[in-house]
Amino acid sequence: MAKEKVLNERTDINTPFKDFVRKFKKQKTALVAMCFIIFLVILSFISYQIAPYGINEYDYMSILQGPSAAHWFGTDEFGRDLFSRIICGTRISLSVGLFSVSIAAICGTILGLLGGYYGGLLDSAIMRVCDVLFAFPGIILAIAIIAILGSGMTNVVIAVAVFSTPTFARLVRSTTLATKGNVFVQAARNIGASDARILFRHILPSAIPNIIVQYTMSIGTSILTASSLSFLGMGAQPPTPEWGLLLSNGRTYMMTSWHTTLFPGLAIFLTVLAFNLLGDGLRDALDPKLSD
Amino acid sequence: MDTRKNILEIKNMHTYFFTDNGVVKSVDGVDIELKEGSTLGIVGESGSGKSVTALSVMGLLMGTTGKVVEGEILLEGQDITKLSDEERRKIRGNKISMIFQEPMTSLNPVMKIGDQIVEAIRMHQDKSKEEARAMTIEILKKTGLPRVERLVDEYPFQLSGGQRQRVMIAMALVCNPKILIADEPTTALDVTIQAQIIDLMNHLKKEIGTSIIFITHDLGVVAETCDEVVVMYCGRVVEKGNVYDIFGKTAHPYTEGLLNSIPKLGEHVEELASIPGNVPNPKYMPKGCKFAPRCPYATARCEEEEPGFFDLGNGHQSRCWRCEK
Amino acid sequence: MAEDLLKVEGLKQYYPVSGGLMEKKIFVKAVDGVDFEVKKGEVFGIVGESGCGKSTLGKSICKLIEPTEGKIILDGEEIQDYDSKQMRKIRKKVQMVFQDPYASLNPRMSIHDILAEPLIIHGLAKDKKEIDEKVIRLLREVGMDDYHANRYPHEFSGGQRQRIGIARALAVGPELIVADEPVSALDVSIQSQVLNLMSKLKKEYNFTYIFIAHDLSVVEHISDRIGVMYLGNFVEEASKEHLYKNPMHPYTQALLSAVPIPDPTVKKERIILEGNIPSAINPPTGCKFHTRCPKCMEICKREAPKKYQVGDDHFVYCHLYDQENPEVNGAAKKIEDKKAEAQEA
Repeated sequence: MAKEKVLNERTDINTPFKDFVRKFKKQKTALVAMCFIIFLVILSFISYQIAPYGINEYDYMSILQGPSAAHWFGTDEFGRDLFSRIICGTRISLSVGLFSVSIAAICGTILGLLGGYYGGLLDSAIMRVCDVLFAFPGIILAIAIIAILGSGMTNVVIAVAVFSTPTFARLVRSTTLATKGNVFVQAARNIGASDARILFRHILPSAIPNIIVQYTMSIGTSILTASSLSFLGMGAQPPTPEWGLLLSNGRTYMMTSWHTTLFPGLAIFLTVLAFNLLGDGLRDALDPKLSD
Repeated sequence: MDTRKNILEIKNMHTYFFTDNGVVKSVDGVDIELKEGSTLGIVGESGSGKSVTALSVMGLLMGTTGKVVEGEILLEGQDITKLSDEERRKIRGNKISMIFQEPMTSLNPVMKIGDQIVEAIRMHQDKSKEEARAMTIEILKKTGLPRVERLVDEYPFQLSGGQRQRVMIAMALVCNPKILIADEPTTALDVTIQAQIIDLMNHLKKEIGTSIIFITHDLGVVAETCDEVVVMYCGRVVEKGNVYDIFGKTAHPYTEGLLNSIPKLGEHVEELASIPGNVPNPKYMPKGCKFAPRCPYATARCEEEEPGFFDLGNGHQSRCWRCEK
Repeated sequence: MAEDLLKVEGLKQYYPVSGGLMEKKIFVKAVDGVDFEVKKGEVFGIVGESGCGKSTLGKSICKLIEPTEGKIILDGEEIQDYDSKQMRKIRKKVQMVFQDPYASLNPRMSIHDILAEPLIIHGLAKDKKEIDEKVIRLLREVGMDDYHANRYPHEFSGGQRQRIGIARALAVGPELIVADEPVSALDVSIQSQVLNLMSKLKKEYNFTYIFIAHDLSVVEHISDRIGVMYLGNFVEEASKEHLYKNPMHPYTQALLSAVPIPDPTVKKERIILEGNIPSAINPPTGCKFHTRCPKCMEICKREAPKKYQVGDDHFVYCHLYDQENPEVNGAAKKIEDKKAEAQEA
């Protein structure tokens, strides 16, 4: 039996946010994932200060050495310390993820809101463009965009943003369509609210939980895509310590020096996994259908 | 005094829901008796525990966080709370049937109407498909549905709300159950259709001899259909008795409030009597009598101490300190 | 005699149900040519079963949907063609209270924000302080406590939410309130609270109400005049006394007799209508009620009945009361007799 709490009706306020926090606290895996992500974020700020070696500190005396006390993750073909390079790569991967997905979320949300709310020709146009973008496999689309814009991290951000936008547009459009029919939207119109007010005060807040979940999940995917592009040589250029690039370099020596691929791979894997787990946890905590 | 024997007795039943926010005591010590061949009305507002009582009797709480934690449910003298899930399943639909409020969602939308009833028959009785189909057509005809032979091969969406409720009633009655529990069977229907369904239920009760538990919030429907009435509030029975005593010699202030708050046709009053306040949130349940905060007669004692039942003769009982002699 | 606040003429509201490119468009005729007027300060009740178009009618009066045809004249102003900008001014005069108190409040806004919204939109408060004051005043007006302002809708019961819905409608100081089934989702004991609240507010502010409901006893309690709807048309329109004591249309008679009476000692004769309400996509020809009418005649299948006056402020749309129709002379005679009797008495 749970203990019975005596609650005062006057002071016991239950806001949607409190509700979310209460439910999110129960998602243990998501909490661990969130701690890991916070750790990564902090790391991305201080990595250059705490790295034991410089990221481009060549040491030809110790090339391709396995993990040791001096080089925790071993060294690469130029004797650079892998541990330092990986922790400094955090900043690149996180910022690529954050920027590209933020751009995608903002563009996608606006397109989705407008399409869903006004319908008609505008909606058809937006959705057809999305369908076209969906028809390409994500990575190929990104490669095509890079091919047009040229390689480099900024272009990677743009490429990833372009191929994530339709996901947001479609998601926001469907919530908009569902919310638009709600009585409270009609009630808002009844008191004379303008379209802009209805869109941003009533419909958008209903879509925000979905957007947050998608945002989190997309960061994982876009970090993966950005790394893949770098792996293919279309993103970051040497000697940037980008994880995909590290992996690509290590590939040559994979047979003899396993650590050159294992650690960058692990960094990508754990980061993407953490974002996905956090997204799952957020979804469970934010989903009104699962509320009690 | 009615001498018919009790076909169903619920004794001191407690059904609690174990949620993330703590325990919700939906039904907290309920005693109800159903006499053979009679109609018992359970009246209450949302949150009174009337539907949970029905689900507890049916054994349909699995899949929820709810559980009957205490008490007995005696069906013809046998305590069915002790039975295994498999044995409960056999009782369901065979000895006790239930019809639900929402005739739109209680039927499987992708199965033909006839097949759904045939399935219900063959689940409990050893009948061939042809025999079951014949039974289906016969029972559907009894419910007054038109063009039954064609209707058995139609899908639920092809019927109107009232027709679907008739199909539900047919499905519930096809195995000649001892008890039929009807949970707000007419609430979702229009008045003219409601009149048809009530008529049908009264008619079938006479013909088949089923005892009925009629759960509703509509006192008008109760007055027209029930022999016995149980009034529930906050998971408790607050008053019970036969329908004439409940409406004529109302003893509990809650029942009185309910009766006074319905507008009556042809009676023009400036202001309706009403019960002030709201049904208490289960999180902030009052300590003494659960109705005390809304009761016009409440005293200090009511707020401190919860009354038990006081007998008013002829099986009429009320849970109110004012009835203490 | 008070002047008309609202006049509705030949209002039609059709919804397309299949809009394929190649197919012919099919319409649901939710409201199919309705005329009525509502006088200043009166409560006009609209009663009917589900699908009769009463809610649709309410929404078109508030212009939450664009009427297909007909005129809506509010205070002498024809508003049926107003766009949303022009409507903003009108919204201060006409407000709606919605049926489902659970769906009509935005779950992500606090009660304060919900009530502040109309004040902000219409510039009814100068600053934050005045908004706060007005919100509190509105809450008190509908019998809620000040501390409720900071809460969110999910913490309230249906009755409390409906009070908030009413407070929101009050915020702009309207003249006409269209209440669409405002109590049908509520428990009995709460229903009467909300009905009393609405009566109290009406007395205080001299509102005009259009009260839409399916529950005849509720409509009869609150209204001065009642219109009975069936399949998109009015069938009878009368003061509540007339309607209850002397229902003329066979549908009204059946509707009245179907209402269960909460008294086990009264056993009344019921007129049980056969069959179901026909679909509004393809309504019956002639009088739409003829498929279920116990008194159906040949003419009913062919011709839609006109509006016949059968008493003071009592109108009925039924061929039975057509004096010139030889088929129904008997019935018409009966009314004459009744009228004569009433006069003698």
